[in-house]
Amino acid sequence: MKITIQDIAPGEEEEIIVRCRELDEALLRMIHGLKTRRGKFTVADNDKIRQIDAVDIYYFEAVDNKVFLYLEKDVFETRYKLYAIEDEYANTDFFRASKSVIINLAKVKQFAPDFGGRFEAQMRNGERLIISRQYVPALKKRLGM
Amino acid sequence: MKESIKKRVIELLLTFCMVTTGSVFVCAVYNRVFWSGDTFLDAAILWQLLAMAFVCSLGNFIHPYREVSRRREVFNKGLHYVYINVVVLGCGYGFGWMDIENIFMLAAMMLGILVVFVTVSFVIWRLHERETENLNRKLREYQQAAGCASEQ
Repeated sequence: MKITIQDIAPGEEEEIIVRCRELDEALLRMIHGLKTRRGKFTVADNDKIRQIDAVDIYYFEAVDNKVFLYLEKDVFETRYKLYAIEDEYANTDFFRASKSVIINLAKVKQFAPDFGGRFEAQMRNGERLIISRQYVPALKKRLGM
Repeated sequence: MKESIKKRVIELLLTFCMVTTGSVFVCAVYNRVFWSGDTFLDAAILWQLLAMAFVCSLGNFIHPYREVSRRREVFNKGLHYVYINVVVLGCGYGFGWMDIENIFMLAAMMLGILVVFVTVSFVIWRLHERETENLNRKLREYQQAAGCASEQ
């Protein structure tokens, strides 16, 4: 595969064009990976506005109609809705684990069995999140089982 | 077939097979202890055991497919156990497997229920653990392919 990198003028928008005969799984994965790596979330950090890289996010959680994003140690409220994040980041490392949680599969250390056919996702920062049994088939599909 | 329905049907069949096997063992021991001697078992007991195992398996539906809290899950497990006791003791009384006034028969039946319940739960848990091992293997492959295994 030929890779061409072109310099662009300052201020010009960066662009990636994929020229291919067929969008196979490897290419799709690369595109989704790029999307995650370049994705950013705007959050309010006290009185400041801060941009969080999607790759740094461990998980999103909806609590009382508010959505929080969790980093390794910090937590921020975000204005994004869970369903919107799920749609925007479909087929990336972000995965809907339950009604109220979206996890970043890249930040999962391992899975553990839990009651009633559920699984527990043990995150790399030590947190534990439940994967509801109704989302287990999707998880297996995502991991290629 | 929808994935969730397919999964539930498979779970139901798996539970039915395990409960039937457990019931045959308990039945054999029970007969040896309480109905030993020249007792000749009616062939109808085979159908009765299958019917009882099937009704017991229906108890799987106590656990909803939708999301519930851990506390609710534990409560459902307790409810499931009570349901099985009611079904088996009901069948025991209805089919004449036990003399209800014989406290030892009743206790043995309840012990049998406990043994089968714990065994089936253990087997299901082991299968779940094996499924978890496969998930972890696939997760490692996924993370390596995505180049994020070396992140942390």
